[in-house]
Amino acid sequence: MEDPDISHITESNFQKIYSPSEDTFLLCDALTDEAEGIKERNPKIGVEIGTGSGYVLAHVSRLFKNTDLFVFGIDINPLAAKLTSKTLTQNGISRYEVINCNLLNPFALDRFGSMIDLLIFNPPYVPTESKEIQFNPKDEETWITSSFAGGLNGMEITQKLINQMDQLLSPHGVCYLIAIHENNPHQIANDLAEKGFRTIVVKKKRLRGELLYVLKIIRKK
Amino acid sequence: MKLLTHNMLESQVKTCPEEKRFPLKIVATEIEETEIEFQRSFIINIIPKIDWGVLRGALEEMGLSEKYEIGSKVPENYEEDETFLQLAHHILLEIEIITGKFVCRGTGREFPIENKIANMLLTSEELN
Repeated sequence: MEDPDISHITESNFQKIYSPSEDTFLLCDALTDEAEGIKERNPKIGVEIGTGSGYVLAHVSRLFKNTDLFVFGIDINPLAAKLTSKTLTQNGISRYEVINCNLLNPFALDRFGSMIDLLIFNPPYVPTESKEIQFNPKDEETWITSSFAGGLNGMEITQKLINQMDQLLSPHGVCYLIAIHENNPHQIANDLAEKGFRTIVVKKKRLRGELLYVLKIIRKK
Repeated sequence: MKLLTHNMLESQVKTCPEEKRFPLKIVATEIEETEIEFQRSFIINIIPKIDWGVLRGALEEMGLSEKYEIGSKVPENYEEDETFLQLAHHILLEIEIITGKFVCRGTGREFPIENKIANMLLTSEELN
């Protein structure tokens, strides 16, 4: 399959949003490898949190073209949300909604809860000081920081999602989450096991000095 | 912004009373009716999760309640009612708010919608 077309995004845009990088491509490869298995789960609602350029979401939407899948793209960065919408349209995708928000905060989880069949998150995973993860929509300087700064152990944002996992994933749902070694993937898996989930490493690769993992998370039988 | 999504969003403003968080009020200044591929089993699966009263209210706020008359509840055997499924598909996915805003019913806080995208961001002071 061809790579998603993101030719509309300019160099100056990439000063403010995350540019598709090794972790992006690793996640896309993992999803391509997993596509047949995901299709067997017959996913209807897909969500990607932190879409950035929209590269991954466009890739996923094309992998599952002509299936039931409808995708929600979420980004805290207003420019990323706007560009994601353009990327999806440019790649011939119509079954989507883009929302500019922080994680899934505005979703009424008692209504939307346990409804996500395919959840994708390439989080800001770089260990930084906690104060670096303060996002301010009015301060464009913080926009790009929000794409990578993960606070303590790079886990402050990922942990919020892990804590909500039970309210998010549908009974047959599957989540693909990127982590790096410094995030302590074993601890992530142990934490999720206590919450009733099984974690499988579907990719593990050293790229530019980062040991990257793609974790697959499903409910225990 | 589609009415499917409107059916799932609530106000997270700290000072908003619980019972006024859902649904958000719609103020639509530009609406477009588009064409999106119909997937039957998607629609069949999503219908039981939709708050039908909220969907009716949304159409009313957008001035579309005469154009699209939907009953107060989902018809029995809706799975086999092709006309109903097509109508539900159109209302949930193909009516698009291009420009406008959502308004929190409890506080009046506005969430702008531009280029189809709702900005639901809150400052940390406003948030729960």
